Amino acid sequence: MALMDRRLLLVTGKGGTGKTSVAAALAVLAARQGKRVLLAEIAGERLSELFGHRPVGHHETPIQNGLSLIAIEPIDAAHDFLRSQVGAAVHRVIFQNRLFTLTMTAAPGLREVSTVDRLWDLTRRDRGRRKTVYDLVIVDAPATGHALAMLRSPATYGGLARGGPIKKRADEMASLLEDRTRTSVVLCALPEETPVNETLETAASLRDLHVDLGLVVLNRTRGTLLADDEADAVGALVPGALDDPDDGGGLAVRSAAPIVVEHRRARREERQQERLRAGLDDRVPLVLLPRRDGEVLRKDLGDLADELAGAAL
Amino acid sequence: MSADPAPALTSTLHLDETLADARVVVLAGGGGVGKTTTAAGIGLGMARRGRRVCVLTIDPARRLADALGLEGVADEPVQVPLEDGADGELWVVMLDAKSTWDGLIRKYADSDEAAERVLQNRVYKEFSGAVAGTQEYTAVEKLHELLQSGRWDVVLLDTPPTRNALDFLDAPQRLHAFIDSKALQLLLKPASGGIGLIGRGAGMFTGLLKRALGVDLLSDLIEFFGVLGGMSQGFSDRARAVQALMAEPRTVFLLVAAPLPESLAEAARFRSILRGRDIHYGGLVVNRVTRADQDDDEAAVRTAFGAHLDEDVATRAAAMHERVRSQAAHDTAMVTAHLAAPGEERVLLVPQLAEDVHDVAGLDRLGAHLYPVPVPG
Repeated sequence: MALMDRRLLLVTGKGGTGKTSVAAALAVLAARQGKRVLLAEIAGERLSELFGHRPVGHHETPIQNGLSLIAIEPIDAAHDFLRSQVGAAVHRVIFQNRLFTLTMTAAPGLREVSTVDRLWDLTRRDRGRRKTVYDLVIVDAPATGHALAMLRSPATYGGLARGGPIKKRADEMASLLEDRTRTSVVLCALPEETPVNETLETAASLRDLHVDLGLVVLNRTRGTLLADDEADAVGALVPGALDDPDDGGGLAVRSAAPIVVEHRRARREERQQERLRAGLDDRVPLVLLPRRDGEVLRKDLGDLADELAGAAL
Repeated sequence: MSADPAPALTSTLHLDETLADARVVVLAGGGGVGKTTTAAGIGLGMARRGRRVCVLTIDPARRLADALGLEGVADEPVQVPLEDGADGELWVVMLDAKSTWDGLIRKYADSDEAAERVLQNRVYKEFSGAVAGTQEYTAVEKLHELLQSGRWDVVLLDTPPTRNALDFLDAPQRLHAFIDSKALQLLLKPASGGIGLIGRGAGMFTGLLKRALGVDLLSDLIEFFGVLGGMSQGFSDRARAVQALMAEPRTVFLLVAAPLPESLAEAARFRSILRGRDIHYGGLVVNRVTRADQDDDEAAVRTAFGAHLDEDVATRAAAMHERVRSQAAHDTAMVTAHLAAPGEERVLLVPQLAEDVHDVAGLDRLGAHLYPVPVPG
């Protein structure tokens, strides 16, 4: 099943792997395909700025053709969740209670399960008359560890609650997350040792959780234009150590060291890329996004979407 | 697009000078910027200068951890063998937040039984493993313990990657406020006013909570905070001590960043937070900076290579040089753009090395750039 035909895509990865850009580019791509898309981020708001829009906060806000934004605050989501369980009046009475706030902080997984509950609601087809129904909800999810805690939370919660409405809701959430025709995870990685290790560990955790891994995006890849023996020939021009070449010498001498350093880095990254490919299930597509010199801006999202589309999504 | 020629940017942060009297060095910055490697490299340099150094790290890359002898050892200082018979020592401790917490609970609980009950408590498990701030708190706790032992001249703290610098600086205080809150007092003494409002309120609250969450957390909460409440004075004292420690002139903060926009922006945010506080900020270390001479254009490089290499290889090598030159220009421009006003912030540019660092030899290679002036004598 095509990635973009799912209902919920969770984009995660270690910090600094380009999650936000990838989530935004996927959303642009889906909207271009004629889908009604909601792009959601959790705990913090950066996407509105990327799209050149004022902050949207905890409200679904259409920002351009077919694309809406929301910034989900877990603590607000937790209040929504509890309000839906105890009713607005009761919730209002205990809202100010510091003990209540304390509990919200300390209760195991409450904020995570509430966030998933919010996402579950956003993906529903039958949301009621006044609410927009989305074809696809794309989440710029928290970094890997926290994202996994989120994915685990409905099952944990369902296990703690012995019955009643919460148990039922938690089971519905869990079945949404485990349904590979509806939910998929997109992992972002960098071609370096630790990020690749973590990506493979996360892939294994997702298998254990029965959550589909739909795509891995390897960001900031670089290649080399030289064969190894050619790079060696260039390197032979360098007097002294590559990291600390001796001063002096002509243009060729001065230019050689940076080329060899770059070549070796590219080769190391290729090895990490191969290791990543070998460690992933064959059916999981791996997309490479080349390194860019600058920051990803709004005008770049179209290009990024093209690159992702080129990978036959 | 060819980048505008960036103004020359040179390193102005000299670690030998900045860290000469340091007793605590705190390294802060986002994840994946090479903070742990930088901490180990700086620590090794200090050890090579005859000091007894301990590096407290959170989550080192596996190969580096293995090379330093940290494999499977948490919370215990491990000495890194230095072959030269130098006067200095390098030790490394890998922090395990959960086991530091478990140790604190065992220390402060009234009895072994009480400690065991808390260790099995659902709220405690969540709290010690995951709640934001607890890892930061234990890092500070461990730092304090290492300094108290008197075994080291200097301790380097590789902080957990946080979204917000305040999380780390304020962890002890926030934790104290959390534990010491009035709400907690209410929770602990639900019946202290006889059958007064407090008791009834708590009862109603419990019922609602149970109905709302489907879980009876109250007993777990009471047990958990019962023990933690007993530790309240300890936390309060520690929060004050840590604040004083961070403000000491011999405590130096260094920021670590990668030459990437998000990383440098994060460092700039952190810097502005530090500035508002009584903290000695040493400067910014930027790792993996691409270097290449900016004056050398592609055609000239190709011609120069033509004298030494096949024409085809010379052409591709020159194209590659152009790519590196463009990145070097961007790296320099980006670092410059994110620095504080000229002269206000010291910066140390660490170049991209030919090989990754994952052992002591690698740390020494890195050290050559962290300390461009060799060990005196």
